[in-house]
Amino acid sequence: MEGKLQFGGGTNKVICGGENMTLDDVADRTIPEIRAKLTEILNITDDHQIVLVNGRKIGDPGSYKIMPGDEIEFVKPAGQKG
Amino acid sequence: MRVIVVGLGGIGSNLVDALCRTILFSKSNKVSRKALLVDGDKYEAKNRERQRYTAFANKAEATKEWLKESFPELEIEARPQYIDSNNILFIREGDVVFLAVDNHATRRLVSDHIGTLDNALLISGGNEEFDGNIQIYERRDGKDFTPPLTHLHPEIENPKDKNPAAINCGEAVVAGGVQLLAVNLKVASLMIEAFTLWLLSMDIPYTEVYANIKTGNVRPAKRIVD
Repeated sequence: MEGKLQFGGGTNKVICGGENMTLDDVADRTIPEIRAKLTEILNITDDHQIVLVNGRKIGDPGSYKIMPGDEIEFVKPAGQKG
Repeated sequence: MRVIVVGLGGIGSNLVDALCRTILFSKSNKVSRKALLVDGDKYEAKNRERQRYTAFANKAEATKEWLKESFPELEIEARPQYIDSNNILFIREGDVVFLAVDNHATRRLVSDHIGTLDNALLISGGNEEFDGNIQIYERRDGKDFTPPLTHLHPEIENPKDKNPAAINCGEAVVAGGVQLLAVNLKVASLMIEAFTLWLLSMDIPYTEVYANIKTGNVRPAKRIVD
Protein backbone atom coordinates (compact mmCIF):
# COMPACT_ATOMS: atom_id res chain seq x y z
CA MET A 1 0.00 0.00 0.00
CA GLU A 2 1.23 3.48 -0.77
CA GLY A 3 1.10 6.07 1.96
CA LYS A 4 0.98 9.33 0.12
CA LEU A 5 -2.28 9.03 -1.77
CA GLN A 6 -4.74 11.81 -0.94
CA PHE A 7 -7.90 11.70 -2.98
CA GLY A 8 -9.30 15.19 -3.22
CA GLY A 9 -6.03 16.63 -1.98
CA GLY A 10 -3.30 18.39 -3.87
CA THR A 11 -1.50 15.31 -5.07
CA ASN A 12 -2.03 13.02 -8.02
CA LYS A 13 -1.25 9.35 -8.36
CA VAL A 14 0.09 8.23 -11.72
CA ILE A 15 0.07 4.52 -12.54
CA CYS A 16 1.58 2.37 -15.26
CA GLY A 17 1.54 -1.43 -14.97
CA GLY A 18 2.82 -2.42 -11.56
CA GLU A 19 4.38 0.97 -10.95
CA ASN A 20 2.95 4.13 -9.50
CA MET A 21 4.11 7.51 -8.38
CA THR A 22 2.56 10.33 -6.40
CA LEU A 23 3.07 13.81 -7.77
CA ASP A 24 2.50 17.24 -6.30
CA ASP A 25 1.56 20.38 -8.18
CA VAL A 26 0.45 18.87 -11.47
CA ALA A 27 -3.12 20.20 -11.43
CA ASP A 28 -4.03 22.00 -14.67
CA ARG A 29 -1.32 20.11 -16.53
CA THR A 30 -2.36 17.91 -19.45
CA ILE A 31 -1.96 14.16 -19.86
CA PRO A 32 0.71 14.54 -22.60
CA GLU A 33 2.72 16.71 -20.21
CA ILE A 34 2.55 14.04 -17.52
CA ARG A 35 3.40 11.38 -20.08
CA ALA A 36 6.50 13.30 -21.18
CA LYS A 37 7.56 13.92 -17.59
CA LEU A 38 7.26 10.27 -16.53
CA THR A 39 8.13 8.41 -19.73
CA GLU A 40 11.41 7.07 -18.41
CA ILE A 41 10.49 6.84 -14.73
CA LEU A 42 7.36 4.75 -15.27
CA ASN A 43 8.49 3.28 -18.61
CA ILE A 44 5.53 4.69 -20.51
CA THR A 45 5.85 4.04 -24.23
CA ASP A 46 3.85 4.92 -27.33
CA ASP A 47 2.13 1.54 -26.94
CA HIS A 48 0.34 2.85 -23.86
CA GLN A 49 -2.58 4.24 -25.85
CA ILE A 50 -5.31 4.04 -23.25
CA VAL A 51 -5.41 6.59 -20.45
CA LEU A 52 -7.77 6.34 -17.50
CA VAL A 53 -8.60 9.14 -15.11
CA ASN A 54 -10.11 7.87 -11.87
CA GLY A 55 -10.68 4.51 -13.57
CA ARG A 56 -12.54 5.93 -16.55
CA LYS A 57 -11.32 6.14 -20.10
CA ILE A 58 -10.97 9.66 -21.40
CA GLY A 59 -11.58 10.44 -25.03
CA ASP A 60 -9.05 13.14 -25.74
CA PRO A 61 -6.14 12.98 -23.31
CA GLY A 62 -4.65 16.07 -24.95
CA SER A 63 -7.40 18.38 -23.82
CA TYR A 64 -8.02 17.03 -20.34
CA LYS A 65 -6.78 19.26 -17.53
CA ILE A 66 -5.69 17.31 -14.49
CA MET A 67 -7.55 18.11 -11.29
CA PRO A 68 -6.19 17.76 -7.76
CA GLY A 69 -6.69 14.21 -6.56
CA ASP A 70 -7.10 12.69 -10.03
CA GLU A 71 -5.66 9.22 -10.38
CA ILE A 72 -4.15 8.81 -13.83
CA GLU A 73 -3.36 5.43 -15.34
CA PHE A 74 -1.49 4.77 -18.55
CA VAL A 75 -2.83 1.29 -19.25
CA LYS A 76 0.08 -1.04 -19.86
CA PRO A 77 -0.41 -3.48 -22.73
CA ALA A 78 -0.89 -7.11 -21.75
CA GLY A 79 2.20 -9.30 -21.79
CA GLN A 80 2.41 -11.00 -25.15
CA LYS A 81 4.64 -13.96 -24.42
CA GLY A 82 4.29 -16.93 -22.16
CA MET B 1 -16.71 -28.01 -15.34
CA ARG B 2 -13.40 -29.03 -16.77
CA VAL B 3 -10.17 -27.15 -16.43
CA ILE B 4 -8.43 -26.44 -19.74
CA VAL B 5 -4.87 -25.21 -20.10
CA VAL B 6 -4.10 -23.66 -23.47
CA GLY B 7 -0.36 -23.20 -24.01
CA LEU B 8 2.27 -25.27 -22.23
CA GLY B 9 5.34 -23.11 -22.57
CA GLY B 10 7.08 -20.98 -19.97
CA ILE B 11 3.93 -20.13 -18.04
CA GLY B 12 1.72 -23.14 -18.79
CA SER B 13 4.28 -25.90 -18.16
CA ASN B 14 5.10 -24.36 -14.79
CA LEU B 15 1.45 -23.76 -13.93
CA VAL B 16 0.09 -27.27 -14.34
CA ASP B 17 1.61 -28.96 -11.30
CA ALA B 18 0.18 -26.40 -8.88
CA LEU B 19 -3.07 -26.36 -10.80
CA CYS B 20 -3.55 -30.13 -10.59
CA ARG B 21 -2.67 -30.05 -6.90
CA THR B 22 -5.22 -27.28 -6.36
CA ILE B 23 -7.95 -29.17 -8.19
CA LEU B 24 -7.17 -32.48 -6.46
CA PHE B 25 -7.27 -31.11 -2.94
CA SER B 26 -10.04 -28.56 -3.41
CA LYS B 27 -13.26 -29.18 -1.57
CA SER B 28 -15.13 -27.06 -4.06
CA ASN B 29 -17.66 -28.58 -6.41
CA LYS B 30 -17.04 -25.81 -8.94
CA VAL B 31 -14.64 -27.97 -10.96
CA SER B 32 -14.48 -31.66 -11.72
CA ARG B 33 -11.33 -33.75 -11.66
CA LYS B 34 -10.94 -33.40 -15.41
CA ALA B 35 -8.21 -31.46 -17.13
CA LEU B 36 -7.51 -30.89 -20.81
CA LEU B 37 -4.12 -29.73 -22.09
CA VAL B 38 -3.90 -27.97 -25.45
CA ASP B 39 -0.81 -27.10 -27.47
CA GLY B 40 0.34 -27.77 -31.05
CA ASP B 41 4.02 -27.14 -30.34
CA LYS B 42 6.83 -29.54 -29.42
CA TYR B 43 9.36 -29.34 -26.61
CA GLU B 44 12.89 -28.72 -27.83
CA ALA B 45 16.24 -28.52 -26.08
CA LYS B 46 16.13 -24.72 -26.28
CA ASN B 47 13.06 -24.73 -23.98
CA ARG B 48 14.94 -26.28 -21.06
CA GLU B 49 15.83 -22.95 -19.44
CA ARG B 50 12.22 -22.05 -18.66
CA GLN B 51 9.89 -24.93 -19.47
CA ARG B 52 9.20 -28.13 -17.63
CA TYR B 53 9.16 -31.27 -19.75
CA THR B 54 10.30 -34.86 -19.75
CA ALA B 55 10.34 -35.63 -23.49
CA PHE B 56 10.96 -33.95 -26.82
CA ALA B 57 7.41 -34.47 -27.95
CA ASN B 58 4.19 -32.55 -28.41
CA LYS B 59 3.79 -30.27 -25.39
CA ALA B 60 0.22 -31.30 -24.56
CA GLU B 61 0.92 -35.03 -24.85
CA ALA B 62 4.27 -34.93 -23.06
CA THR B 63 2.83 -32.88 -20.18
CA LYS B 64 -0.13 -35.22 -19.89
CA GLU B 65 2.22 -38.16 -19.37
CA TRP B 66 4.10 -36.74 -16.40
CA LEU B 67 0.98 -35.24 -14.86
CA LYS B 68 -0.81 -38.60 -15.02
CA GLU B 69 2.03 -40.16 -13.06
CA SER B 70 1.91 -37.44 -10.43
CA PHE B 71 -1.87 -37.19 -10.27
CA PRO B 72 -3.44 -40.57 -11.14
CA GLU B 73 -6.69 -39.44 -9.48
CA LEU B 74 -7.25 -36.87 -12.21
CA GLU B 75 -8.62 -37.53 -15.68
CA ILE B 76 -6.15 -35.72 -17.91
CA GLU B 77 -6.49 -35.47 -21.67
CA ALA B 78 -4.31 -33.89 -24.32
CA ARG B 79 -5.21 -32.07 -27.51
CA PRO B 80 -2.02 -31.78 -29.59
CA GLN B 81 -3.05 -28.86 -31.76
CA TYR B 82 -3.09 -25.08 -31.71
CA ILE B 83 -6.43 -23.59 -30.90
CA ASP B 84 -8.08 -21.84 -33.84
CA SER B 85 -11.49 -20.81 -35.12
CA ASN B 86 -12.09 -24.29 -36.56
CA ASN B 87 -11.63 -26.21 -33.33
CA ILE B 88 -12.42 -23.72 -30.56
CA LEU B 89 -15.87 -25.19 -29.92
CA PHE B 90 -14.28 -27.78 -27.63
CA ILE B 91 -14.37 -24.99 -25.01
CA ARG B 92 -17.85 -25.37 -23.64
CA GLU B 93 -20.27 -24.12 -21.03
CA GLY B 94 -18.86 -24.16 -17.52
CA ASP B 95 -15.24 -24.62 -18.53
CA VAL B 96 -12.41 -22.92 -16.69
CA VAL B 97 -9.72 -21.93 -19.18
CA PHE B 98 -6.15 -21.04 -18.33
CA LEU B 99 -4.68 -19.22 -21.31
CA ALA B 100 -0.88 -19.17 -21.37
CA VAL B 101 -0.10 -18.52 -25.00
CA ASP B 102 2.51 -16.33 -26.69
CA ASN B 103 0.33 -14.27 -29.00
CA HIS B 104 -2.54 -11.81 -28.75
CA ALA B 105 -4.37 -13.28 -31.76
CA THR B 106 -5.15 -16.41 -29.75
CA ARG B 107 -6.10 -14.31 -26.71
CA ARG B 108 -8.61 -12.43 -28.85
CA LEU B 109 -9.99 -15.66 -30.32
CA VAL B 110 -10.49 -17.33 -26.94
CA SER B 111 -11.87 -14.22 -25.24
CA ASP B 112 -14.43 -13.76 -28.04
CA HIS B 113 -15.48 -17.40 -27.74
CA ILE B 114 -15.84 -17.21 -23.97
CA GLY B 115 -18.12 -14.22 -24.61
CA THR B 116 -20.56 -16.54 -26.41
CA LEU B 117 -20.94 -18.82 -23.39
CA ASP B 118 -23.35 -18.29 -20.51
CA ASN B 119 -21.00 -19.43 -17.78
CA ALA B 120 -17.24 -19.75 -18.07
CA LEU B 121 -14.05 -18.49 -16.47
CA LEU B 122 -10.97 -17.41 -18.43
CA ILE B 123 -7.71 -16.62 -16.68
CA SER B 124 -5.09 -15.34 -19.11
CA GLY B 125 -1.43 -14.64 -18.39
CA GLY B 126 1.37 -13.13 -20.42
CA ASN B 127 4.73 -11.52 -19.88
CA GLU B 128 7.59 -9.57 -21.36
CA GLU B 129 11.17 -9.75 -20.08
CA PHE B 130 10.75 -8.43 -16.53
CA ASP B 131 7.03 -7.86 -16.15
CA GLY B 132 3.78 -9.59 -16.84
CA ASN B 133 0.08 -9.51 -16.16
CA ILE B 134 -2.97 -11.67 -15.75
CA GLN B 135 -6.54 -10.93 -16.79
CA ILE B 136 -9.71 -12.55 -15.53
CA TYR B 137 -12.78 -12.77 -17.74
CA GLU B 138 -15.82 -14.37 -16.18
CA ARG B 139 -19.23 -14.98 -17.71
CA ARG B 140 -22.11 -15.54 -15.35
CA ASP B 141 -25.67 -16.26 -16.44
CA GLY B 142 -25.07 -15.02 -19.95
CA LYS B 143 -23.48 -11.73 -18.92
CA ASP B 144 -20.00 -10.36 -18.55
CA PHE B 145 -19.27 -10.45 -14.83
CA THR B 146 -15.84 -9.01 -15.59
CA PRO B 147 -14.66 -7.39 -18.83
CA PRO B 148 -13.26 -9.46 -21.71
CA LEU B 149 -9.53 -9.51 -22.45
CA THR B 150 -10.00 -6.90 -25.17
CA HIS B 151 -11.34 -4.31 -22.70
CA LEU B 152 -8.80 -1.45 -22.46
CA HIS B 153 -6.36 -3.62 -24.41
CA PRO B 154 -6.28 -2.59 -28.09
CA GLU B 155 -3.23 -4.78 -28.60
CA ILE B 156 -5.52 -7.79 -28.00
CA GLU B 157 -8.55 -6.34 -29.77
CA ASN B 158 -6.48 -5.66 -32.90
CA PRO B 159 -3.58 -8.08 -32.64
CA LYS B 160 -0.57 -7.48 -34.84
CA ASP B 161 0.70 -11.01 -34.35
CA LYS B 162 -0.66 -14.26 -35.73
CA ASN B 163 -2.22 -17.34 -34.26
CA PRO B 164 0.44 -20.06 -34.73
CA ALA B 165 -2.22 -22.20 -36.40
CA ALA B 166 -2.38 -19.58 -39.16
CA ILE B 167 1.35 -19.47 -39.84
CA ASN B 168 2.30 -21.26 -43.06
CA CYS B 169 5.18 -23.70 -43.19
CA GLY B 170 7.15 -21.30 -45.38
CA GLU B 171 6.56 -18.39 -43.05
CA ALA B 172 9.30 -17.69 -40.56
CA VAL B 173 8.13 -17.72 -36.98
CA VAL B 174 9.41 -14.59 -35.30
CA ALA B 175 11.54 -15.61 -32.38
CA GLY B 176 10.16 -14.41 -29.06
CA GLY B 177 12.16 -11.88 -27.12
CA VAL B 178 14.10 -12.68 -23.99
CA GLN B 179 12.05 -14.28 -21.23
CA LEU B 180 12.95 -15.20 -17.71
CA LEU B 181 11.79 -18.23 -15.75
CA ALA B 182 11.21 -16.01 -12.72
CA VAL B 183 8.69 -13.91 -14.64
CA ASN B 184 6.92 -16.99 -16.04
CA LEU B 185 6.62 -18.33 -12.50
CA LYS B 186 5.32 -15.01 -11.18
CA VAL B 187 2.56 -14.94 -13.77
CA ALA B 188 1.70 -18.62 -13.24
CA SER B 189 1.47 -17.96 -9.49
CA LEU B 190 -0.88 -15.00 -10.00
CA MET B 191 -3.11 -17.19 -12.18
CA ILE B 192 -3.30 -19.85 -9.45
CA GLU B 193 -4.04 -17.20 -6.83
CA ALA B 194 -7.02 -15.91 -8.80
CA PHE B 195 -8.28 -19.44 -9.42
CA THR B 196 -7.98 -20.29 -5.73
CA LEU B 197 -10.16 -17.33 -4.74
CA TRP B 198 -12.70 -18.30 -7.38
CA LEU B 199 -12.75 -21.91 -6.16
CA LEU B 200 -13.34 -20.68 -2.62
CA SER B 201 -16.27 -18.63 -3.96
CA MET B 202 -14.62 -15.50 -2.70
CA ASP B 203 -14.97 -12.26 -4.59
CA ILE B 204 -11.80 -11.74 -6.59
CA PRO B 205 -11.01 -8.11 -5.78
CA TYR B 206 -9.40 -7.48 -9.17
CA THR B 207 -9.86 -8.26 -12.83
CA GLU B 208 -6.25 -7.74 -13.81
CA VAL B 209 -2.91 -7.88 -12.00
CA TYR B 210 0.40 -6.40 -13.11
CA ALA B 211 3.75 -7.56 -11.74
CA ASN B 212 7.31 -6.45 -12.30
CA ILE B 213 10.20 -8.45 -10.88
CA LYS B 214 12.66 -5.57 -11.36
CA THR B 215 10.83 -3.42 -8.85
CA GLY B 216 9.06 -6.16 -6.91
CA ASN B 217 5.78 -4.38 -7.44
CA VAL B 218 2.50 -6.22 -7.91
CA ARG B 219 -0.60 -4.13 -8.59
CA PRO B 220 -4.16 -5.40 -8.83
CA ALA B 221 -6.65 -3.43 -10.93
CA LYS B 222 -10.42 -3.77 -10.96
CA ARG B 223 -11.89 -2.91 -14.34
CA ILE B 224 -15.59 -2.26 -14.64
CA VAL B 225 -17.83 -3.79 -17.31
CA ASP B 226 -18.96 -0.97 -19.65
